[in-house]
Amino acid sequence: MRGSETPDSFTEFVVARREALLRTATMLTGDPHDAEDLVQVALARCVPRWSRIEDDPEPYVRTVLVRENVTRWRRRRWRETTVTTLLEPDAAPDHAGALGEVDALRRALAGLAPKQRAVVVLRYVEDLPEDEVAHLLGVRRGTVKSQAHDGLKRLRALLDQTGEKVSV
Amino acid sequence: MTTDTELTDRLAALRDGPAVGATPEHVRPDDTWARGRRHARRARVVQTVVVAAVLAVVLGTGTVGWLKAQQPDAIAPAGATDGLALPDTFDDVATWAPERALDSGPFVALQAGRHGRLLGGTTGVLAAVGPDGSVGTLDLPGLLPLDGSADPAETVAISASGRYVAWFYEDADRTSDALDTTRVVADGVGRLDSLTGEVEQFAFETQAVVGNGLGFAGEDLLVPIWEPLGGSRTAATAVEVLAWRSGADEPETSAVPVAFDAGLPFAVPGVDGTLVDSTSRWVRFVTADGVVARVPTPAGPGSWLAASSPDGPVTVLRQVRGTDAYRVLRAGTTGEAPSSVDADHDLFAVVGWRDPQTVVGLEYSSDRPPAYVAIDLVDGSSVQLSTFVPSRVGYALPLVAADAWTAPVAATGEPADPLDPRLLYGVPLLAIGLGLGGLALWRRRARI
Repeated sequence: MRGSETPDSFTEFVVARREALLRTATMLTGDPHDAEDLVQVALARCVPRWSRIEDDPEPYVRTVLVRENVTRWRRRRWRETTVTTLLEPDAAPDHAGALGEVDALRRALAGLAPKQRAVVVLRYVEDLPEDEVAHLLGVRRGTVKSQAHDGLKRLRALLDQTGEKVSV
Repeated sequence: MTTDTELTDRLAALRDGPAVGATPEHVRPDDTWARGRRHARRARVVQTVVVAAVLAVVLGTGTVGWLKAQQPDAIAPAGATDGLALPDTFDDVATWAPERALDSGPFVALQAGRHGRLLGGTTGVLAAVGPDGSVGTLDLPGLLPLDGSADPAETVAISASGRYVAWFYEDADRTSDALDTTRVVADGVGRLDSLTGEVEQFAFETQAVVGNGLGFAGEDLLVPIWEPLGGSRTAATAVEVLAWRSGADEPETSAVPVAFDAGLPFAVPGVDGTLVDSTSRWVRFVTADGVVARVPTPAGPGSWLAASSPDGPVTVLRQVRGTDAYRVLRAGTTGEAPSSVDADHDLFAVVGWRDPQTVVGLEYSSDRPPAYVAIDLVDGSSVQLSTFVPSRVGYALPLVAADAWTAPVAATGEPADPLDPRLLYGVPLLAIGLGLGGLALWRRRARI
């Protein structure tokens, strides 16, 4: 049926990169279910342009992913439905110490405001330059700097609440 | 204790971790591709509909605006003389009438009207009527406001040939010699040569009260100068009359008695370049060089309206109501009994002469459209020359160039009535804006 219409390059890209995309989306949204929908919507939005981007689709897909997320949290902001769902702890970590730290960091990230979380994720997790983060989020570079600074500060506070010791 | 660097290192390490809680298998390539195709198809339909709607609005508005802005085709009258033709209809000045070039004369007539303002409301304007009946506004520097009940005949005039337009002007920069009066005042008089576009202005030594207007005897402009009477703020009197002759750079004091100007706005231009004014006792025939003749009005009932002809001074009577017919009479200078000509027209005013034996009158009647009619003073025959839209009844009438009454009548088409530019440009812009906004909103809101 429809499967026969799907270009092989699209199938190969989705299968190969969906986990990485979901990882970024999960950190951006703070919610795994939202992340799944965000990735699917971002990929669907790329369908009309697929023939032009199929040689190197990752940058375009990631740009769409981030902007779609911005659109969503802007929409949710004026709908007054702030999403602050914290990630559930891993059910059965193999190495309690290391995975506990990772889990605490993920949960702290989910506790940031959406815009702040997006800045921190793009700047420090995705390691994008400030200019590119500003461009993707549609804000000024100064806003990125201040949000990144405030985001780290807030992260430390959240980690502190969970029992971790952090210093400035 | 962790440092900022350690914290950012820990964040960077998340890049390679698992997508906790999410299930990659839920992101299926085929479903996602089908979802994207469906959205793309919907987007194309929505974009097509929006673009078509915007195009329809833009093209519709543009077409209506273009059609409404079209001037009627000039219908050249057979045997037109001096380039003048008398339009068979005088229309209202359209609210958004275009501006006429100052050198597009000679003009057939001047009309007062209202012009729309972009920010709302209207303002009084003076428009010129061309031989083809087209109407365009004139931008005369300093023209006194034509708002309210102001009669343009008191502040503007047109010469017999339609070449010159004269007007009282005010100088906004004048700060001295301001008259202390409640009357309308002017700082000078302007004259436009509509063949060349040249505008000349003559400043009065001191401000003058605008009395009963100014007028042309042929191509010579007569300008009465009034001043407050005895220092009164409300009363004024004429003190002299200036004559600005065709070709002269500036006016000179005229031999016309100052008493004459009392009737200037109601003076009827004659075919020989004289002005004719009547009072209850006298009919006066005047050129810029002075009074040619003064004839006593015939005794008897009725109000007299007067006009001159090359045959000699003639007075024309509109008989009072109470009889079945309204008769036009003529009288010579010798005081003989006026001859009587039956003409079934309710003449409100005599406005000019079509030829030495045919007078043009303004007819107001309850059972006929208002019209200018030509009445033969010998056999009483009459013909309708021009009509004007009923809405102009009781309003300031066109000031028609004297020679236009002698010109052939030209049929005019539908009057130009340009679309409000706020609609012409605003509606398409609004449609485009709404279209783009709607598309953007749809793209943001559309579930994919």
